[in-house]
Amino acid sequence: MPDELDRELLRRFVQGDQDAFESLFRQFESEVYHWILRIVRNASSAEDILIEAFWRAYRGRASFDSSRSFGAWMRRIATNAACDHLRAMRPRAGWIAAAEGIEGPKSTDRVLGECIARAFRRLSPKLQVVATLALIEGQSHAEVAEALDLPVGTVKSRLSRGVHALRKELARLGIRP
Amino acid sequence: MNEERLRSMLCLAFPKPESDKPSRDLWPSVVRRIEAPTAWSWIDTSVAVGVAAGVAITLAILPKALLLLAYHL
Repeated sequence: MPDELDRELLRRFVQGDQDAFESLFRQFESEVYHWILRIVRNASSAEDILIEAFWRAYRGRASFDSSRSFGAWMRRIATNAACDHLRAMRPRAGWIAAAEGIEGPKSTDRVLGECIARAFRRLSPKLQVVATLALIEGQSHAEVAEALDLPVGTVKSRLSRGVHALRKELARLGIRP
Repeated sequence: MNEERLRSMLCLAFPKPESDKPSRDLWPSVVRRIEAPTAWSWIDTSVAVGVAAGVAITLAILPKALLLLAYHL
């Protein structure tokens, strides 16, 4: 729950005060950046998405309820912006064998890593986000559900669908470790 | 493939990014984005042209529709 000072800041933000928005940006920039980075795993993309997310927040400020948590609202916007980025980056159905386009000698682990990364990026963004937090970041179902503002059941079902699709894609690429 | 193996393969494919904070101050970029004029997309333009053309054709065929249009404006 925001305290009195924050409440005033949030009220000014909703009214379009850019100084108030800058204060909020400075306060939440690091938290939002880390959140986006955990999802997209790339620093440069995370910076672009952060700018997009704060722009969306400013544009949609009228819909913000100043009695609620700005951090949670901002995280939801950042997640949506990150999903849009993942959607744009998603490889088209056209790409095929994983070994194609890999030049020069590389370690088996590196080639395997590239294949897995490609297969993973073919999942829908919603599945990618849940799978990233649960499998790569090692968060519990409950933690992922809370972070994404989703029911635990939805997290479990998305994770299960993601794992199934990933296994299928890896099998298609001939990866059966 | 068990889930543990899949998890370790994913961790290999997506190592933890080392970046601790943005490489530059991003506030000026946010301000530029806010102040940039909203561009019309090709969809907006197509819809506007379509509506204008529809009104023009209707008025050409049924001039009396102008009264109806004037009534609604």
